[in-house]
Amino acid sequence: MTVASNDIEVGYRLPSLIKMVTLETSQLYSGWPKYRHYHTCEEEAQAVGFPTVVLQGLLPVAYISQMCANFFGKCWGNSGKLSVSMIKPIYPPQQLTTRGIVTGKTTKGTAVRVTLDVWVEDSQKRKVTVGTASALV
Amino acid sequence: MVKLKVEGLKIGTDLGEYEYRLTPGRIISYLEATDDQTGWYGSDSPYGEPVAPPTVCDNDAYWLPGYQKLFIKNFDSLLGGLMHAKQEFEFFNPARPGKKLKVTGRVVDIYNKRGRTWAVIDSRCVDEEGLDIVHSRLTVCWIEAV
Repeated sequence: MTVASNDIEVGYRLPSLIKMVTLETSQLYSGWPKYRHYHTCEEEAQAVGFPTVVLQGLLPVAYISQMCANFFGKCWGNSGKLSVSMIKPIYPPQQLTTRGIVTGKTTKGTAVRVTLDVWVEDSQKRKVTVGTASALV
Repeated sequence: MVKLKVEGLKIGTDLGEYEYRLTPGRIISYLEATDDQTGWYGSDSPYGEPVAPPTVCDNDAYWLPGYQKLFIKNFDSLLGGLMHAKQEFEFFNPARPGKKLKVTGRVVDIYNKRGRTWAVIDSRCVDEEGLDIVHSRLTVCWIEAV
């Protein structure tokens, strides 16, 4: 499925990934039942002021990485850089959509570093995780 | 919002080492938990052999003994006030199943902004042959209790 090449055009939109996240998703990622905290237990989440369980911020980051792995292929594993901010808490259930767009290309010797804006949207199409990604192709 | 009192946090604090073996079971659990369908741990691996997803080491800094001591073991309600604000990764080589991984880290910055205290933790993961796997920069923030 690798798409990236050094003649990829700025403005190219990466194929998105769509992930449904539920309480069970959050529990599976965060080690329930061994770990009982605001990522896995509604009672614990409410005790510290959240309306319900909060999805761990690294899970949408993993989704962005999957989108980039599909796009860059091996280059992602060997030269990938990712920098993101978690700007909104994610309360399951939500449909999360990863998005990426090529924003630039920089020549590095014989290779080209392709840079992307990347983000994750929730069910209401609000951005919850935003940042940049790049790899040498 | 829970307010935290973090004792003993300084720029340069060494957070120690965390070692573990990246077993096939651990990789498979991660693939399931993240709904990973890239195929890198299977016949679609671009490396010609199964490799772990690059973010399999995503939570390693959390398990550093120094991080546990500073942020986790002090609080009854785990991380109730600690927010994961930013994350950076630089991937060098995918981790291979069965390899022993070693993670080291330190606090590289502490600052105040928008009424919160922010700490930046750099960590590095290498395998048992010294191969760089990933460098990570984690930023957390909290409201300081007085």
